Amino acid sequence: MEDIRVLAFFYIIQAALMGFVGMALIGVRLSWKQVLLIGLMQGIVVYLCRGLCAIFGLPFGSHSFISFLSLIVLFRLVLKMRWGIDFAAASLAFITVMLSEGLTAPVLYTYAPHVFQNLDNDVRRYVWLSYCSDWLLIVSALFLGTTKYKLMDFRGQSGKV
Amino acid sequence: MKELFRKIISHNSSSQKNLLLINVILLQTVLVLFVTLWAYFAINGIILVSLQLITAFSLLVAVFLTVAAIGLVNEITRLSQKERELEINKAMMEKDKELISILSTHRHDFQNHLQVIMGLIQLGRNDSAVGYIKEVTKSLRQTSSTTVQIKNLEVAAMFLMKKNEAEERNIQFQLEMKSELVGLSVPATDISRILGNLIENAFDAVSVIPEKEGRVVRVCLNEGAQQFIISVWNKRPLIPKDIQDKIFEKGFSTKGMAGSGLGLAIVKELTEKHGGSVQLVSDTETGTEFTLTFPKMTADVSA
Repeated sequence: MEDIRVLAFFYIIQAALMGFVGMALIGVRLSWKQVLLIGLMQGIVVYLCRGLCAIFGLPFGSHSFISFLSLIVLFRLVLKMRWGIDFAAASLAFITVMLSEGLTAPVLYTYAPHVFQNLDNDVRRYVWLSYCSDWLLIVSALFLGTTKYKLMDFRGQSGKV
Repeated sequence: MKELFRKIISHNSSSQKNLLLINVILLQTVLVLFVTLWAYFAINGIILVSLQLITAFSLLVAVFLTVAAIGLVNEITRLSQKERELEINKAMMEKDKELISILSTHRHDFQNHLQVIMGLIQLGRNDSAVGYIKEVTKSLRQTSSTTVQIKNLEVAAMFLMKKNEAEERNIQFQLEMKSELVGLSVPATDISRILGNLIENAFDAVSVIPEKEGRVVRVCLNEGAQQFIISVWNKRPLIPKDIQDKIFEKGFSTKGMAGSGLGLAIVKELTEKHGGSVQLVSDTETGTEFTLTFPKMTADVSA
């Protein structure tokens, strides 16, 4: 299992941002309480998932799929919206994260490969690097938090259950 | 899988279908990004995943994306067809409403006539009653003699309605039927819209003329060997030369705020859609005349 500090300082915050950004992009604004609840629960799921994948030797990337599914379920449990809405929000959140990582990783590997050396032994560097690779998520959260922008508007058909 | 996709789609309402379509697109994006990142990390030796696994997964994703894309295209095509059908039905409903409105007016008129006739008979003025019946019959013949010749019910209804409207606005509406437009390949809804717009414009134009000077609008249905010719004419007012070129442009209107500037643009668009053309002549000699020409359908002899 990974260091517990990664959970506290990164996974929970990343999951909270993903929850907020995913929902805000489809026009659903979450309260602080809902953001924190989703962040906490999804952070723990991601932490456990990554640990268990490593223990059972599942291929790298499996944790992303499991986290994707768990975020959809969490949206459903916490916000009680239609599955379709939850799926769209989770997809948008993951697209933001993957785009961010996809853009950042090649640049870092090319120009600063040394930052990845002995990464597992340096929690602080691991956390900072993770935040760096999630820059698009952070920028999106700031933008969506300060504006009323939405990519799609599903509020009319959120269909709370 | 294609059937499954169709089943899922057909069991949902339209808002759910939209959501489903968006989700399919989003899932495609997620999968493409995931495979790209996975392959990048694996090829650079950053993560330990066998290339066979990535290839197998990529192939699965490709199959899914293909099926989803085909499903999406089919669904979009089906939806656009439905939208077109809906527009046609809407237009038909409008025409039906017009027909009902005409029938209601006629029913009301007949009730009035019957009451007059009954009153005259009760007063013992049988001759006057007979005279009244003759007068009403003559008037009805004049009104419908031309329109009943038109084979197309919607067009006939539109002319009747315009005739009634003309009477209300003290406009003399003349219909010259030199052709029954049999074989005209323009759908009834479109030809009604084209003529309805032109006649309405002519009514609006002649309404500014004082009644004593004669407000006349004439529609002429004609045909030659190769084409149908339909014209809508009014003597006055004339359209100034400098705006004759712009009059068919979208948004251009001579009615100020009261006009949408779409009527003549629609006329031109619909006419050209059916292979026809529209011409405007407006001078002191001719008056103002819009002439529509539509090619006649030629039978394919070789077929």
